[in-house]
Amino acid sequence: MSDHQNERVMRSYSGYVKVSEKTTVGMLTVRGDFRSSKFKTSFTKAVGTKLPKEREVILARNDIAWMSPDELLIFCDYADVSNLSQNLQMELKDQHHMLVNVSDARALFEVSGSGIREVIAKLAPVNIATLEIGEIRRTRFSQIAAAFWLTSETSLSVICFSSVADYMFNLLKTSSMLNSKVGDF
Amino acid sequence: MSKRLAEGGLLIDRNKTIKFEFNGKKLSGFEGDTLASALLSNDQVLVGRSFKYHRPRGIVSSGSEEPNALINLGEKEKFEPNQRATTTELFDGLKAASQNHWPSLNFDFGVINNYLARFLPAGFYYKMFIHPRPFWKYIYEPFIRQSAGLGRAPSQKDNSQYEHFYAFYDLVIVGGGIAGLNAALTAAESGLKILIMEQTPEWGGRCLVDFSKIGDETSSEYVSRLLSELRKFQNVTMRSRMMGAGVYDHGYILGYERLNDHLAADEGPRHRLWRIRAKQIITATGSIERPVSFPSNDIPGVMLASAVRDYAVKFGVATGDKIAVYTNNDDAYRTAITLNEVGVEVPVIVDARMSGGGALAERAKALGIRVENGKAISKVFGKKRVEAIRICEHKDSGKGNEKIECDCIAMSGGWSPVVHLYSHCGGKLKWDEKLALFKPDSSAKPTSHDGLPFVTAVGSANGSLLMHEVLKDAWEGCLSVIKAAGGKVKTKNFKVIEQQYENSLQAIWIAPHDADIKKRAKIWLDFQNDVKINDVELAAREGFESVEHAKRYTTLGMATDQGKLSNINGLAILSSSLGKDIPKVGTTTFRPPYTPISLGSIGGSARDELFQPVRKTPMHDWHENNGAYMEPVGQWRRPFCYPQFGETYAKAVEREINQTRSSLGLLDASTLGKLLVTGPDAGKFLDMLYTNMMSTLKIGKCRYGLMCSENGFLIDDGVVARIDEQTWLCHTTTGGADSIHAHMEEWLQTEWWDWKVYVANVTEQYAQIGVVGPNARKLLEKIGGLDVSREALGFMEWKDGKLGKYDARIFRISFSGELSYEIAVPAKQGMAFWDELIEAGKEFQVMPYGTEALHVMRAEKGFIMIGDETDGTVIPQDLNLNWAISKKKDDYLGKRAQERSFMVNPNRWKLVGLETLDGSVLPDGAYATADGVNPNGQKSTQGRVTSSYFSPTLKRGIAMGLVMNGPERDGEIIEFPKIDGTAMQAKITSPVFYDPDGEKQNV
Repeated sequence: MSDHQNERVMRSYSGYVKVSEKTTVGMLTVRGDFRSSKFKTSFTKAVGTKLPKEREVILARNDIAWMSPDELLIFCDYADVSNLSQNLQMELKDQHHMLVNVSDARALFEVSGSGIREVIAKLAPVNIATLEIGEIRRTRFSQIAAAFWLTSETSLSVICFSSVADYMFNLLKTSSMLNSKVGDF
Repeated sequence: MSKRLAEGGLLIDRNKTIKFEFNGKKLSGFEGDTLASALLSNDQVLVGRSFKYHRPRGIVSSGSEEPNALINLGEKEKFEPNQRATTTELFDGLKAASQNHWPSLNFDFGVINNYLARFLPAGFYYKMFIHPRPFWKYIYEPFIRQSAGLGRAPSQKDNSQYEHFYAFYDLVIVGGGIAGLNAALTAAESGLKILIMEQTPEWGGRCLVDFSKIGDETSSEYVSRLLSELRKFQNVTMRSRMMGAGVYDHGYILGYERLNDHLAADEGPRHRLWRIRAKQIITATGSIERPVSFPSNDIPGVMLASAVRDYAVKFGVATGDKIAVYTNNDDAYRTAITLNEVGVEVPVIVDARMSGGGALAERAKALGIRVENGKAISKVFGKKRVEAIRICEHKDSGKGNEKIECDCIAMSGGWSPVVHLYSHCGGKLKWDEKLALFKPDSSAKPTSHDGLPFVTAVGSANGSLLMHEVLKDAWEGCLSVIKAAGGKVKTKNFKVIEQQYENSLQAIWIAPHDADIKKRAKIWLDFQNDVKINDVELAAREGFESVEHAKRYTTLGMATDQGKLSNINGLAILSSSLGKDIPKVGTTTFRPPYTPISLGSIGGSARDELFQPVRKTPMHDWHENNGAYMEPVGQWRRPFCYPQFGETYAKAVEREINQTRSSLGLLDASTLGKLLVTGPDAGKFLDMLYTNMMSTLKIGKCRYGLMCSENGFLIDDGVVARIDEQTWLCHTTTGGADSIHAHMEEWLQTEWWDWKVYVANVTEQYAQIGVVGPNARKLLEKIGGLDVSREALGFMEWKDGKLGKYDARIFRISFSGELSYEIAVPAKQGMAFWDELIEAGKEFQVMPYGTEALHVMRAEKGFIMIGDETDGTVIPQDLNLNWAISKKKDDYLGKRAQERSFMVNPNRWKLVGLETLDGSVLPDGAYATADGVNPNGQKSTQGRVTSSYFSPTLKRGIAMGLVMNGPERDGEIIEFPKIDGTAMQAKITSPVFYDPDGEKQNV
């Protein structure tokens, strides 16, 4: 994640990469017709950036992640979700769309260090070697649904449902334990 | 005796002594030893007992094909049975014990089976233990279980770590011998992303032992050069101690990496299972030497010629003082020459071929080694160790009389390519008559999704046994694979390396050729499972013509080594017994894994807290800290009840209900599914999904709704709230949240793709708490901030606002029959809100209640529960829910199905209440019997119990059930037989036992 203010780290672990949970991040789900130029214009007006392309995460103060052909996830400060939502609501009021605050429904983890790609390769059936910075993958981490994207060559963000945040933390922790380095990347 | 030679040993470091234990005996070896080479250096040839006859067993091979040297390895939480000594690297403090004997390895009582062998032929178990039938369960099975198994089962939990690793490559090469290394080098230049794996710690395969020179270089220089060239390529990953375990569809291949089995200290993961996707796979897996089938070929000291050579060259170990060589091909002459060079006496080379060997044989003779052509070994002297052999003419029945002293026999019956990985995914084999081996059929390779081949065998795994053929085959095989993997071939000419001419092998499947039945009963095919030539012949006589049937009948190749040494010899005997050609009989199926892999590696990190994901509500930790007895509901854990002061669960449930009905209870209802549905067509959409009308619901109101499948069966229920003009919030059951979300998306994406509706699953966005009981309103008023009076928030209404300091949405709904509010707050506020409710509720003696109290209270009210009253065969009409089915709507999912003749049959079982006459509790799921019998001759039934509880409110058992014409039979008494033979009588009543007019919830 980019530098959100007031981020409070709830728990963290340092193995050969560092894992930390970010608990005060706001998340807003936006659904709509991304092919409509009217929607694009309204969106840009409300949010200040263009729509992300397929599988793209626009890395900015407010990361914007493409989630599906008609769904986005916007990250912001926890307290800013309702403002953001209202701005969008105003612009999109006569278009079919959906805005849902999911800040409490998702957990967000940041993984940083030089071995991040291989830590993910222990958990997700993804060709991580070819994943580009700012490219999102919706996949599974071991037995749970997850999405992740690289924010730089040495940091990435992972989201999952909040009810399984403990499981996700333990997965990332176990995978990054010292002495378990694979050395394939 | 077998011993360490004064010098030599490519892999060992004689300056580093390693101490280990075998059967409690303290022994030592050198760094670089395998357990097998270290045992042999200590003259420990006897290492185990066979499975059936408990015959003494010695080390046969030097690799993963080993059938005999299986040991119990380690202790306590590191204990593991059936480990092969030949692939176990020696480390300081290693503790090993031999298996399958009592009381000791040297004296085993079970060997009595050996003397009963005449009475224990193939199929003995099948023939013996089938009669009389009842004996199986009470006598045979317990007895067989006692004596079955090789190693012991571990008694403690494995404390090692394991993990998985997902990897993607253009090309995966299995095998790090000269074929694999050359293929990797050729492919590396093409820029492909390559993984090459080798199951042993060292690269180079057999070439270090078999050839002193390759081209102008020594073999170790040659291998070192290949390795250093390969290491320069960024696109090549090299992993040793990693075995290709299995090849599966679409280029999926498993790599089994053993990270610290060779270390005394246990740091990091023990095994890592690589789950690899490859565009192309090359199997350069080499070949395995075959034993020769001659009388008493199972006595310790009889070894593969290649293994004898390996121990001498790699580990500086002589496996005997006098080692006789027995062969049908030229390769075994290398063993004799090697032994001669290191100063071990070779009293004779017995060559089955009349014509004898080629250049290697000439060299052996020049060294002064006696060579006997056209001969066979007809007898082995010794019991626990080879003492001498008798040789005869091969073509004979075994009447020779020359006895030659030796304490080890190095045998070679030819070579079998390791075709396992090539075959796992459907690669076909063909029989090579000249070399007497099955090799990959290059015209029938395993194919991938596109119908094109994706596995290619090269080198001796492809049947190219001679060194120059291996190199040429690796080169040629690689070129086609590079193209298929999307790489460009950088053409460099293949450098031809000449090798000495070798005479061709002569297939011998039994020696001596005319061995009589007594001798055939002593010729072992499968050393571990004790399958002999006469067993396979018996199977053929008894009609087991298919190789798969003969295998299972005789247990040939069914041991832990999966017949790596025995299969080809066995099927050759089967085919000659059947009078068929070998290729007509074929091989048994090769299945993964190549050698057993640890269960831990398959599980990976999924153990202890990672065994399964547990979904937790925001109040989960509070429940656990307050003594809740948790039950699984889907992947959630929910409090079943909160026992206090050592009370039973039943008492806790009773207390929770009484408290809630008399004053105040709290329920963590966060797990309930919450689906937000929005859009101009949302009302129309929900009218199709629910049986009743949702589009007419007014903003601020709630309505209970039912959802059916296309076939009319009830699949979910819950309260729907209208949020705004275009938005509804649908509550689902806990277990239904994900499936109903998927159900909605499926209809929207496939059938009604043009409807403007969006759905979001917001289940986890909220903590939802039920505040239930006559004092519920007082509690909320105490917290304050929102008017929750009867007038301001009526039954089945909801409102948003600040309740105290919480962002709340209050639904006035009731699943208990009491005055009740369900309050949703953002999940992150949930714990604080719960704490505040507990604190503020103290004056009302507030108590949390669990799922069991919830169930009992809803049953007292006659409310149905999805999964109790429904089981996938129940329609809403069965549950008298006609009031929740709109008659005005043209259509809804399930409507047409519910009009089918079977669904409108008046005899369908319908929901009623059941009251036992004596007040006891009916068994859940019990059936009510009726007069007569059904077509199967079973007693007819007329109903069944769907929910049954003790009601603390009514102080007696209550139940709901489905009964034929139930609602019309009010007051009738029906009978429920119990499994103890007695029966319970129950009266049919209304299912609403408590407050039928709903006065308590509507205050």
